[in-house]
Amino acid sequence: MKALLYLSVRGFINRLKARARKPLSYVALVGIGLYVLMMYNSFNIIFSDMGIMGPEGYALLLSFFTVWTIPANLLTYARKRGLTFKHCDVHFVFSAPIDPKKILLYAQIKTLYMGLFLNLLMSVGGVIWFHVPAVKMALFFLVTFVVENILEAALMLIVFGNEFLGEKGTKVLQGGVWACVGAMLLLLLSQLLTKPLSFSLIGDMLSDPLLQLVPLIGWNIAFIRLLLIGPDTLNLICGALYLAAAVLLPLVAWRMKCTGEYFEDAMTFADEYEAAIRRKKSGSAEGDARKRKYKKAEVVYKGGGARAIYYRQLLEYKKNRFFLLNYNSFILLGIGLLAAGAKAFGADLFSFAEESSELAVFILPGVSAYMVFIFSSIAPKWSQELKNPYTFLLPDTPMRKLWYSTLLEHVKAALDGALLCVPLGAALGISPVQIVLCILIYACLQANRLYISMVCDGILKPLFGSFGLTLIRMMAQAAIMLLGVLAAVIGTGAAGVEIGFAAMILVAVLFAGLLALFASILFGRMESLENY
Amino acid sequence: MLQILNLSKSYRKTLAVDDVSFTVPDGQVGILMGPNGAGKSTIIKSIAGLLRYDGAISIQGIPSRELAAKRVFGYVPEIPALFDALTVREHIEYIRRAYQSDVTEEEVEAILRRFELYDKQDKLGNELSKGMMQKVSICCALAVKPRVILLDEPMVGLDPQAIKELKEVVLELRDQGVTVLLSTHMLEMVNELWDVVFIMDQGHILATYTRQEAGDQDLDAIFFGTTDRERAVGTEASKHGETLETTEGGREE
Repeated sequence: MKALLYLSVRGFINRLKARARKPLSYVALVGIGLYVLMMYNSFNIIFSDMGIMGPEGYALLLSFFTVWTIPANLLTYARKRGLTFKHCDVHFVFSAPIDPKKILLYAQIKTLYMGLFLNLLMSVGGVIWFHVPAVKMALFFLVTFVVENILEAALMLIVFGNEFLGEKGTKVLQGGVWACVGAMLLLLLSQLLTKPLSFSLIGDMLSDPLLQLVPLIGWNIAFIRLLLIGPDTLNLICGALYLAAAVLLPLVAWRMKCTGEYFEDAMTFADEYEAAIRRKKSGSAEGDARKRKYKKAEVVYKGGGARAIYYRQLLEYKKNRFFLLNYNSFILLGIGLLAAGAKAFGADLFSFAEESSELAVFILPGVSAYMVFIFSSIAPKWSQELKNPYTFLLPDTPMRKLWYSTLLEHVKAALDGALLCVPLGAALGISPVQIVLCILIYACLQANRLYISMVCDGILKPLFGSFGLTLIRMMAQAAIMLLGVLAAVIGTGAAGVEIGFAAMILVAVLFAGLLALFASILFGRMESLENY
Repeated sequence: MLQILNLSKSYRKTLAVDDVSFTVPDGQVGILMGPNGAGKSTIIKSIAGLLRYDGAISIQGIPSRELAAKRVFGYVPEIPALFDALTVREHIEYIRRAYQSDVTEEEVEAILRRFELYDKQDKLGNELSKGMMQKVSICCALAVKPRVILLDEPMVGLDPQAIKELKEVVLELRDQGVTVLLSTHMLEMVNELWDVVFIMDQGHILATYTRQEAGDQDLDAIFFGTTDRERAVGTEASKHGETLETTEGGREE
């Protein structure tokens, strides 16, 4: 264990040192501080709106987390998932003479920092938002952090590291956990059938005495209630059972045989994890390429030079199950349909804007802009082109290479925009012309996002680092949107909504053109490859 | 000594290794050869304790999953993966602690100098090139002071100087009585190193040759001679609707 502790501590210190050397880390800290300050007040409002007040309310909130996390953790451990092992662990830790159980604990220790932070946050939150006495919360922190982590470690060791359950036994265990989840859902259903529909139903369910009888999950809730609200017969018994489990399960885990058979599953998980990290770093929204299935498709290449990039991308998209659509497209369609449905059923989603007819027409472009902002971290196909040396070897101009690398992205953006704007626009009663203009606004804002990403990731990355780039990217996107909105307001005031929307499109196209011109440098020099 | 007995491994319905047995005695260099998909990696990962398998693997007579066996076992995987936030020196320090190795500071310094890493010992894992990572991986395996060492494609990514050093290290280990098992496609690189060679295909060991048995044949000739012969037998057998059977003995297995 000494070697693993050395590994954890040294790694932590070196990471901290590396962060401390970057000035942007301090900017991030200030940002987080400001965010926490902002959240301090918002949480007060949110919790009082939800009727979650005082120690009872806090016990309910923590019970909700318990119901959420314990079954989820058990199920992931049973699938030999949930513990983060990397290739370096496979290389240096799995083959080392270290007890496999200790290796599992080492993987859990890696998550302990975050657990410590969350427990601290919850304890401080209990004092400031729920007015639980500080001494009580301090005791709560000590007891829950220690007991919960011991129990979690024991459960993880038993479920993840066991070599006696086999495939069938694991399925039985998973079935047991699902049965618990099912029992809780039945409880909720019984409340739904007997009481009027309201948010307090969840509260009633979480404080239901029956729930506290559910092994581990319910016992944990009883323990929380015992500490925060005070003793009653049920929480005393179930709390004692929880503590007994925290003693007995570690004993079982300690005596259990574990020779490292889980290494094979953990190694597979490490492969998947590292592939996911790589995809996240490159901003790819698509899943594991090895698991993707492709249809058969054909394309007829017309013209030469950089147009080949367009036709190759078209062929790739045609092989996709949903052609140009990906899961973001369906999310957009879902949002559009949901908002339209809610509007149709009389929900006053946009009451703040609908009170004034001038503002009402801006709901759709506003929602479009917001969606562009949300999905700004997802890199599309063009980024793959820059990884391909043939892109640079093609006999054509950088601008044409850029255009044909991104052409389908613009078509895709327009399609996504239509999925969002058509149902929502129809529900809001906006004219077809305005809906088309809104689709174009969405596509143009996406084009801006695309070229900003290109300039940031390809040209500015070495100068600013990833955090700085995120800030620049967001600021540039916000600035263009702001100018677009300004143009739209002036245009609307001067000559009507359609002209206003067209003015916004014009501003966005202008900036997209300028950014594309700048970004085309990327398609002319090979060095940019190193940035991807 | 490294002993593999009736090793079988399936991935779902695919039988990757089928009842393989072989031994590399103390102070000998064994070479595991075979085309892609022959089952070499599966055998290597099984020896390193990374896979579930049927059969038995022992290192110095101890079952390979036991900590005592792992303590004397060095492993250089095909693709090195270093800890991002640990320096080269800290990797060695971790190994020293994990294996309770009695490697001294002077010995560590000598290993690092030998593989031209001494001036890079304060570099973090994520600051190194692939070739350097491979060198660190080799240095870590040597810092174990192993009795059995497993090298999976160790020459990939290495510069000529490092390849030369590695070859010398392998011979020195052999002279110290260490068991070496090396898997590689670079046949010409290991021509002067081997004592026993295992030729694999489709999850089986097709043939085993010692240097004495091979005479003056080089590995190229042994490998292609064996695989071509097996292919010819296989084609002939399928023509007659027969199942090809591997045979023990006569060094053809």
